[in-house]
Amino acid sequence: MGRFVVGIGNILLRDEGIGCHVVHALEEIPLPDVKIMDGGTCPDVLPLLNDVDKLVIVDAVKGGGTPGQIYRFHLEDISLEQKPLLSLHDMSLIDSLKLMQVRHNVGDAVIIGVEPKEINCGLELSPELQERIPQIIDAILSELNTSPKLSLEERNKVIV
Amino acid sequence: MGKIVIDPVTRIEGHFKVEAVVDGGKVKEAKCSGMLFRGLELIMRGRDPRDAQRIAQRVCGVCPTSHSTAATLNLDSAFGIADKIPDNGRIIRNLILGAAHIADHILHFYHLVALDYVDVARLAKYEGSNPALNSIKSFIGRGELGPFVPRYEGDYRLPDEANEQAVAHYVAAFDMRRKGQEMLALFGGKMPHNMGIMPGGVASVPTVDNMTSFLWRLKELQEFIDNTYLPDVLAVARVYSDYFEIGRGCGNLLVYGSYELDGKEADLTKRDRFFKPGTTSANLKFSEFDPARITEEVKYSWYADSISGRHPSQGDVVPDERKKGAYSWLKSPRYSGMVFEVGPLARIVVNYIGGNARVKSLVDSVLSQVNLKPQAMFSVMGRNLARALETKLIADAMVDWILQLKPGEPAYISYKLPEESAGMGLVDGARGALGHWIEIKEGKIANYQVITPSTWNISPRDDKNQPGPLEQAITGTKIKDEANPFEIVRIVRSFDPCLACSIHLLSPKGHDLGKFRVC
Repeated sequence: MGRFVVGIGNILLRDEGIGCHVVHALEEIPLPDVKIMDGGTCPDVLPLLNDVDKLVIVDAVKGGGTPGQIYRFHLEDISLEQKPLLSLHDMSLIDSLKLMQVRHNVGDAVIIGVEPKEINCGLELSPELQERIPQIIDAILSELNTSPKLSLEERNKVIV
Repeated sequence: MGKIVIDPVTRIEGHFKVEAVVDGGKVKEAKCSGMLFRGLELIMRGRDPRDAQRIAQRVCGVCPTSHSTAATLNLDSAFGIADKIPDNGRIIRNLILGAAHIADHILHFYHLVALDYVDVARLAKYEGSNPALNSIKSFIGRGELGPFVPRYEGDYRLPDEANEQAVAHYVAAFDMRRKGQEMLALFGGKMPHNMGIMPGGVASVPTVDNMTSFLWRLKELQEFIDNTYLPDVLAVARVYSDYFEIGRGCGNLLVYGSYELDGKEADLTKRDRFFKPGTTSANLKFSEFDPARITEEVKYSWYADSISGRHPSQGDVVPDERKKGAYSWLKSPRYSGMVFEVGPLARIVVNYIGGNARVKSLVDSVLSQVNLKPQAMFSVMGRNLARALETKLIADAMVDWILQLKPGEPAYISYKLPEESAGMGLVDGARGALGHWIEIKEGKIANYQVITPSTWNISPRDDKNQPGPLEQAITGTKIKDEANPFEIVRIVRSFDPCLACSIHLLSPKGHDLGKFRVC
């Protein structure tokens, strides 16, 4: 059984890649027993995970809040467009999770979403989102019910 | 006269629209549109050339390995080291690409194509004891058919038993796909978006341990390919044999070649590759491939006409989203000014007539089983069959390649970054001929151009108004029911199109996420 954090998104489209940027920052924190994965733009990355009892997905989420707003929800909490306007994979995150359920129990799957500011060509996050990374990581850590063996100050030094 | 619009075509990786004008039950005209602008080339400019491998593969989550390979070959050529890659590096690159390639084709058949021919919904009535099938049954019972239900009702012809078996294989294919991904990660470091393939060679070295782990998984995949995948494709091909006469396409096939068998030849078109480069047409005569004949035309694309007709090494990205008459974000790549299809069909047919002995003996033996001539491969079912055939060819070859690795010997050479240079990287990825071109000035990327396989296959009309390969394959097709045009969907999927994967943003309905705010 394992705990997984999977960041999803496209780092070529600025804030769309927030999930990947967050998991890279998370990799700098010593978290034994947590498997961290940069899922990038791979549509079927979730069914590749085995023996999951806790899954935290980090992704950009357009929820109408201010840029950097953090959301936490389960798939069943929200209704999602079957065909999101700009989703480039018809095999969406949702399908991917469902397919995962065919194979085995997904355990507790939570989505940590971050409201993007800019989605256009470029590798850098907008400053509003960059600044939020420590809080996003806190949200993930409380999800995992894990505190790293670092003080807040040390952690921020590692992340930023 | 009616117009069918399929937007987006379901279960195709990418945002993509097909418009077909139907007259008298037949498609009179078809238009294929890529609906998203891809700014990859613009992001590259001004960056360190060595970043190209990392950046290019982020354009797509389905084909990152092909892009990392093309980018790396491109950089090898620009850095003047294309003939100096150590054998271990050359072979490990083949193994990484091969692992992605076979896992990709298995995914494509079971999770995308098969659902057009296999009726998953019928499993709601399943009474047997197979745990995989019961998990699908309970899935259907919970109303979660989403990933399985095709957008259009197909004509499902498989008898119950064969249908059930195919669905069970759908579930088994997950394990196979994972094994392919694990193989890739053994040498690629991570999956998705491998970090192993890089200019100069690879970032990993062969050890007895990782070679054994790789071979162990490969043997399981070989067994699945021989005893499950290929037989399933043939079973579908027999029951749907009319699809050997549907979706013929433009009749011209182009292969860049892939899998390096020789590390000492810098020129990719002369190098000995497992799949040989070349072209052919309906007359089945083989011709040598010359990359200088490639151009990109933009008369019907949302780009300024001033960049039309250029060779990709001189290519540019000048968007013009208000251009009159344009209907796609894809350019139209052409070869000698003619329309060419790329992909598994091209690899198999060009290598068959080009005298590639392994390809010829496998194709002959399989075609005799279904009682068909090579010309029948120019079709929907021919493309699906070609994909399965090359999966077997690659898996079998990989067993030989892995045993050629030499633990203890280098897999990488160092190099000096040039101030001024140009390069070209050509490879046949899972979906076909993929080309990257680079120009380096003052040690930075001055220009970077990519032509993907799907740009060839789903290109719009060109400057001479010639429709692209998929447009030609759809035109003339008989449509039984305009409200349910599964014939078009099957043709589209046989090409396995993939448009630059871009956005994975979640957009919940109603924008009411207030109560889920954390901070």
